[in-house]
Amino acid sequence: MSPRVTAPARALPESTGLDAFLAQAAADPLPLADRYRLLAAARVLVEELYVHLPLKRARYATDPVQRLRLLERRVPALSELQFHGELAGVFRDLRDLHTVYQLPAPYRGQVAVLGFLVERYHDEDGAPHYPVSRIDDALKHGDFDAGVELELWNGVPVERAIERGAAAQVGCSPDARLARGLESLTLRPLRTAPPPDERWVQLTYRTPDGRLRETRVPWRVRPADRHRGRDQDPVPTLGTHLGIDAGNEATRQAKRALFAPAPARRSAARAPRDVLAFRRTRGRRPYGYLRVYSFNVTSARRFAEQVAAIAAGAPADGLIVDIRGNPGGNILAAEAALRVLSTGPVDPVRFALPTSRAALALARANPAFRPWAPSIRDAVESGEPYSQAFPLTDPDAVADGLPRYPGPKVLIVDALSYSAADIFAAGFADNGLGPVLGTAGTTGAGGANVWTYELLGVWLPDLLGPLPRGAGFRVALRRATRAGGNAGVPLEDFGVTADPLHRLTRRDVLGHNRDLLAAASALLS
Amino acid sequence: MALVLRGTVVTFDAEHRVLDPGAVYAGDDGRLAAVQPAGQAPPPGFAAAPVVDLTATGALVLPGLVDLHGHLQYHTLPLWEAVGVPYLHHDRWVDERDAPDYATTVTWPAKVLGHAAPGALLAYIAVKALVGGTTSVQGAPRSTRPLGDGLVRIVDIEKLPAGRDMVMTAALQQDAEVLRNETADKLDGSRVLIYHVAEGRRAAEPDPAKPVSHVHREFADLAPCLKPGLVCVHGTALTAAEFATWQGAVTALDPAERGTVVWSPFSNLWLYRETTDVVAATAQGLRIALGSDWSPSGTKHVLGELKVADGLNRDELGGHFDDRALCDLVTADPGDALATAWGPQVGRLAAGSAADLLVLDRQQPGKDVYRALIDATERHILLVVTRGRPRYGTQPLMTAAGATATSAIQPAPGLRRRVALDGAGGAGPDGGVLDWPAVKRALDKVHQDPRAAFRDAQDALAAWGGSLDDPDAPLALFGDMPEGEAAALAGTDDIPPGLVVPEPDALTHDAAFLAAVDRSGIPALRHLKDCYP
Repeated sequence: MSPRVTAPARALPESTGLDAFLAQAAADPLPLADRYRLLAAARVLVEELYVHLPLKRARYATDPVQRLRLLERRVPALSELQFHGELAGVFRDLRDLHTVYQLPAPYRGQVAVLGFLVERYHDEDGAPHYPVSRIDDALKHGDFDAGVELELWNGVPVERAIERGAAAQVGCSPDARLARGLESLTLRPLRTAPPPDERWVQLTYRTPDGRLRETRVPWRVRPADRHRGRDQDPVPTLGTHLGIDAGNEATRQAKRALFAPAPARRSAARAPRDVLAFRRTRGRRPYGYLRVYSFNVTSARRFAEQVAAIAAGAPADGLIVDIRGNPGGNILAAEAALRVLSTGPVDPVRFALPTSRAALALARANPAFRPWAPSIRDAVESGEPYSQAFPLTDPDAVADGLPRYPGPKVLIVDALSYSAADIFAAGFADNGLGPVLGTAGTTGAGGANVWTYELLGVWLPDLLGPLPRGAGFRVALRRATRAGGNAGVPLEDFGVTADPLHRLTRRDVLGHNRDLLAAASALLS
Repeated sequence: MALVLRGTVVTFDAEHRVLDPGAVYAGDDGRLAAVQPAGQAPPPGFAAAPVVDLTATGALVLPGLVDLHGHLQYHTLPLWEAVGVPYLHHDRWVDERDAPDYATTVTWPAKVLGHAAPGALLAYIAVKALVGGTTSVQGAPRSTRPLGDGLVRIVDIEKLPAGRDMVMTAALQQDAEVLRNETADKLDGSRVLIYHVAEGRRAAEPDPAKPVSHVHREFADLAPCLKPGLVCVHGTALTAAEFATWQGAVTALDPAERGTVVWSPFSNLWLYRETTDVVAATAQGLRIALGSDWSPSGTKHVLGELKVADGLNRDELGGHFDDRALCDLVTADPGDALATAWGPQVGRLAAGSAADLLVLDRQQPGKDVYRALIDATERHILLVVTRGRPRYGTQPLMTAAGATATSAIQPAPGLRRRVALDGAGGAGPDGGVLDWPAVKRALDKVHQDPRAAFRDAQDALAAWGGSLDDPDAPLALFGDMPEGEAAALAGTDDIPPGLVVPEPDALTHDAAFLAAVDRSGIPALRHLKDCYP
């Protein structure tokens, strides 16, 4: 007998129904001329400034430029949502979380949410389980609460539903896409993809005492980030040294707004204290456990100071640094933190521009790009697709005068450790700071410095005109290659290989990473 | 706001008429409705307009001065007394590491100010121009959002006519392929390109048997752009043959057109101890305009540069320019150079011209009107009008011209004027509209604690995840000059240890400026102290 379908009695606070949101969007559609403007901008960006274009063409046999040309022909026949979906799809198939189309208002600054989170662990037999790990109070009803395990998602086995979701995700590695697919089950930033097609999800779950239940939870839309009353992206528009998955940062901040303890929900999201946490592990021989949720901070120096202060109070026996789920952020902050954790000098990651004409124009217009200009110009004769590579800054200068942590260290990564977090992991490994323990085989594999379309437009105003309604793009502009023994190896699509590997257990997911920390501690002892 | 000025009108029109007395009618649209003898009937629409009657004082009414070469972001910095002078060419001083080095004396202070006090910086440099009677300047910094109409016209971003920006500029050289394949096509007779070229010592020209030198190669690369509308800044190293090549190419396309050289003699002498061969340039038919360049190696404004040109003309050029021709270098000549791109003419007073005006104390009754401009100091600037609006001047004239919301300003000891910022500097740090005291406070705050000011600015930039065209979006300015050793802390919110952001450079050619000039020992600049008694 099929269980009775229940539903939450209350709506998620501070949210709008999906139907109401879509009706509002449909009332003022994006004019056709604006869609063409977006496509023209996308072509310039992808063809001229996207540094990974040769890599993506080779690795995924894809031709985004041709797809954009074809889309341009089909524009009049598409609804607005179809248009956004198609354009977002061209970028999604680059499998590069840095390089995204950002939808205009009213999608900008909004996130579609169900109001609970799902995580995954494997039991002793290796079978995956999908427990609800966090839930808003408004969603709790009957037996539906944190700890129940999902079995079917809209009548589809959860494993398969995640696989289908993963196929629609951007990540370049199967692990990364799967992690994103899992996350997108319950949370979808509308800045980078149109809203879900379904208005609700029907969940079949098993309670901790083994009973099978069903409930129907509606999708809701709520503001993701606002500043001075304006819709915002969670990542600076003007950042010149960013390496971040803006979509995942939006997800992270939405999670924080929904599920963090009340005081943390409204604090400044880009301050070091909000992206760092520290405690000592339990056990006979306690170690320091430094959690770095994000590198999306305003100040590299202040971030490094904060890390140094934490490290100074950490046990000398060892420090576990955990950057799982870290979407990246300020590359300089990541490299400066690495410097604080190292007793020796740190060889920084190097960055190269594409050797296109637009890149040369950028290097000519912006004095800060002066070192890159000669090799771009010479590419006509050298045939190099990338310019000479330079560090973005000197980590020693940024971390100058700060104390170093001399003890042994281990780094924990997962498939969502991305970009600046990839760079941190690469630096950790390449400079011999310690072992890299993974809950997935590799990090997220984002290797670039990402710029917004608008920031590029400051330097290339003739090439990159204004976009309608706050629409935008982010593009991988400078390609990161590793240092030390891996000098020249790209991070994009390859990431940092974790060794050893630890599959998360139920005690990890629902019990404060107990087994994971034990595995990390074992590497320190 | 319509406005009428009556006095001795020095028109700089095609006949260089001097109307004594004359009347200038500035319309609501920011253009001149009429420039005519004072006795003629006024054009329609001026019955209720305020009238500034100067006939009893003998004051002169001239076009606002045009400064065709600057780098505005750096214009609050004092003279840079670099130890490596004379440099061979423009790429050499960028790498100056000996104190006072380029990075911490020029690059970093300008960067900090451009981020921490951009509105105040723009307002200050505009006022500095007004104090020198200048209504058009060149050298806009890059900015995170469009800069609105300010106190003075900024040539690079001024949208004349009809909201279109037709002036291209490049302080850094473009590649030969870009010049050939992209830039040259844009010089279609409707645009102007203001381009730095051949900035260095002529003496650096090598033996013909050896490879072509750096700065001469820049000029060779520019060959496809030797077309009407080209304005070359410096050209210090160019020879008579190169000037001939240039003007010959222009003439071949349009015999009525002339290329324009922007001459910045003070800056040339300061950095290279040589300056452009303007006699050779004019002999080939090229037009000359003056530019004050940036304050680290330039005069405060073109009124000062005019005195440098006057001294060189007298002492070294054998009086090649007469006084009227010298004055044309800051009025009619740059105005004509811009006329290729701009609809309303600047630098000449005629019906339909831009209503940019300067009222000047004649100093002595009957003094030659052109000599009066050459000899004038900041103390002789009585009123400056931009786009038909009184912006700077004495209290009586500002009141007579109908100026409102003015602030008191003292550009030099004992020199009292009023300035109408009228929100031209944008919002202040507290969100209020900047007036002159607020401009000075904002710049002083950066001077007092540059590290904190820079960090606050970086925080504000990093906190903004919205559109840049939003009125609330933070403004940041980016300099157009090569950066010195800035890479070590690039992109961080930190600044080099001990960095000093100087107090804003004086608005006038003051004792500190003249003392620095004296220390330089440059013979051709010695006479400047006599110009500013």
